[in-house]
Amino acid sequence: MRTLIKGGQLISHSYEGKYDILISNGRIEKIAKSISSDGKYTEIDVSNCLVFPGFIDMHTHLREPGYEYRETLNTGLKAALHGGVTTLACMPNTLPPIDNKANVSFLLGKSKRLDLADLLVIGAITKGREGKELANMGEMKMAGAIAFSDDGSPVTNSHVMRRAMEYAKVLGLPIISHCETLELSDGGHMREGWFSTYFGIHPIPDVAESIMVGRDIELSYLTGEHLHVAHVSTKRSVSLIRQAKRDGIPITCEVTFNHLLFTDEALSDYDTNKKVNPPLPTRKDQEALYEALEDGTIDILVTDHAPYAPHEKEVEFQRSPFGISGLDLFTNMLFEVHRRLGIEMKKLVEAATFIPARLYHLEDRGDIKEGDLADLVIFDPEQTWKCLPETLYSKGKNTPFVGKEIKGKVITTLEEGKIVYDAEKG
Amino acid sequence: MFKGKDVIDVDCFNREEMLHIFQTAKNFKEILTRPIKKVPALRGKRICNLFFEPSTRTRISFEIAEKTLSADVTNFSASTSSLKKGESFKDTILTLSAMGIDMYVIRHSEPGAPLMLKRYTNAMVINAGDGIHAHPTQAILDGYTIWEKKKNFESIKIAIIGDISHSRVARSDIKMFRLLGAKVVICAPYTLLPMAIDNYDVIVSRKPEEAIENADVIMGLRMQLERQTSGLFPSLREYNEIFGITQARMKLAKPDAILMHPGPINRGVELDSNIADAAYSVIPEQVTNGVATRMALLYLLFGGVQVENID
Ligand SMILES: [Zn+2]
Repeated sequence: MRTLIKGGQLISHSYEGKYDILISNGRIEKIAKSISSDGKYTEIDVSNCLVFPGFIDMHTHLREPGYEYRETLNTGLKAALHGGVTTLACMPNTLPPIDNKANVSFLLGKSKRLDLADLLVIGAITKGREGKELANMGEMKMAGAIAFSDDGSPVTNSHVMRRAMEYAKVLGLPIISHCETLELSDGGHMREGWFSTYFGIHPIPDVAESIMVGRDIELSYLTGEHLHVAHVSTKRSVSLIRQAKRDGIPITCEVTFNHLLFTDEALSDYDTNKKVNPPLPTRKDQEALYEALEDGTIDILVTDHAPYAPHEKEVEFQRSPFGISGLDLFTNMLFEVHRRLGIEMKKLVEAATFIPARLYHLEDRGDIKEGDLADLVIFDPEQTWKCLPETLYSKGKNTPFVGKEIKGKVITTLEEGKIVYDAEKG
Repeated sequence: MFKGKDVIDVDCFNREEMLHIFQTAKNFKEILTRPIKKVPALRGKRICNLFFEPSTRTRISFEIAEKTLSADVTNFSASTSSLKKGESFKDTILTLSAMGIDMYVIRHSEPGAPLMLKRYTNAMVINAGDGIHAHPTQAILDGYTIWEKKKNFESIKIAIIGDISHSRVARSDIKMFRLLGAKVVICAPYTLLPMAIDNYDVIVSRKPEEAIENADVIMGLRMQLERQTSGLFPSLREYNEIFGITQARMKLAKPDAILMHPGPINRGVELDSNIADAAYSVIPEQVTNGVATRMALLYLLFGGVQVENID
């Protein structure tokens, strides 16, 4: 049984423009200007829609095990498909943390049974994410882990980080670093600047991030290990990373949609749905992020999907946990970045498909080309809808988009040729 | 222009409105000197003083203002409430909201708490201090005190000396004084100045002598001992020596300069031991003005117009 996706506007690394896509056995069999069905194929008419490769979100928190009241694999993976994400990686800051092979296997096994979006698992760098002893990275790799991170916390001890990087290099897997100098963040809640002063919110200086980015660049230089910097948010960080790349140090980084779409000024209403770590950037920092995204200093786009239960966010700003829910809105936020900043769609799509697939050696995905898995997102850029808590599949309703009218809508998500999300059916 | 308004910070009002509050306060100040200190202006209005953070001065000042205007007053303080038993801010407000309250006066250790309160109630909200964000009624009383003494703001220099970083009073006062057109100079060790403070359109001085020189108003801010232990300055002794407002430094000010302080005072720290009692100190008067300005504000927010004929 073959499916024909007809009349869509493709945006991907290999194809851009109006093409028909013929799918068979879960893979893309043929791409051509016009393929005629002659009644042989199941036809999906997608004229007036954009067609993207299934998105790859390399930074999410799915909360299982331990925080199922915030999110489960089931709700998180459904939210992903709703947002056009067909492959995603989850961070190990669960309870207990993903710091051993049994926990890696648990997540991979469970996600396989759920048969929703494809889950990749990131294991912890240190046991219990305590920053002291190396976790069993080798065993986790054998169980299927694709990278290591203590995300949520930095590995404060530089010596431990050095050894972790040397060890991960042997395994051939990257380390993803949450760069934060805790003594400098000093229990703060938003980026330091005019607005933190004006709103009277305890500040986190920009260098709390860049000092740690600088350290990790030096350790990457020393060890030769591929270091991926999570959620960069400051001008200083991107400028250090840009220089490190020029110096040939194997470093990559990501930015979240939150940091591209909002600034510190947006906290004037003390809305906890905009409280995130690293904190929302100043205007100046945000402009540096745009620039870094355009010149390729920033490699990939992620959500840093961090769902919380309503009662955890309905508190005073400084008492709220950090984090924004994002999976449901992945394609919408990417489109919003394009609309607001005028960054070319193809570039943005590649930063969320082709480039992460290449960085993490994910085969047969991240592009629209013959032979690849038929992971596709059909997106209608003209349709508008209202983002309400009940329209989100994630248990985390903590996004600044709740209550807002949104332009553009994911119509269908296909995974290996199969319709896994359909806006009509919900 | 006042009725039904929420007062989250000084910038809820423009210059004219602020001067109108001062004029109204002046009339109320007279009432406070009468033998029977009570007018029926707010009879039947229910005001809840919601104090999530301990406060004596501000709470008593509001309470006297409310009672003088004959409002029904309910005091809610976190130390005696269900908050101690773990009830959330939101649930507390939802419970109180069912009790027909017309106005909340809220003090909270968290910035933004008055705006959060606003999400769960239709009653008017007055911010009586939220974290290090704002303290508009203190700024109104400070502005009034200067207005009474100096009449116009355009030609005066106000020096604010002390811990600006952790001061909601300083933040609201600066906005107030700039709104009224005064020149504002602030002075503190840089460890106690928040980022980008000059965006308030103030002059930042490193030397208290420079800040005080030719000033018309000198305002000290309370220095808390815990700032020393958290490493923001080496010792209270050194702080007093370099940044304290002393008799000698006061001599640099204009001859008719006044000394202000939002209280409570740390004698021997931000102010030299006796200068709070000197002739140029208006610190006790600030307290009286606090009641009068709060009366004026409450009166106007509940729709009052003419004070002259009130009795
Ligand atoms: Zn992180």
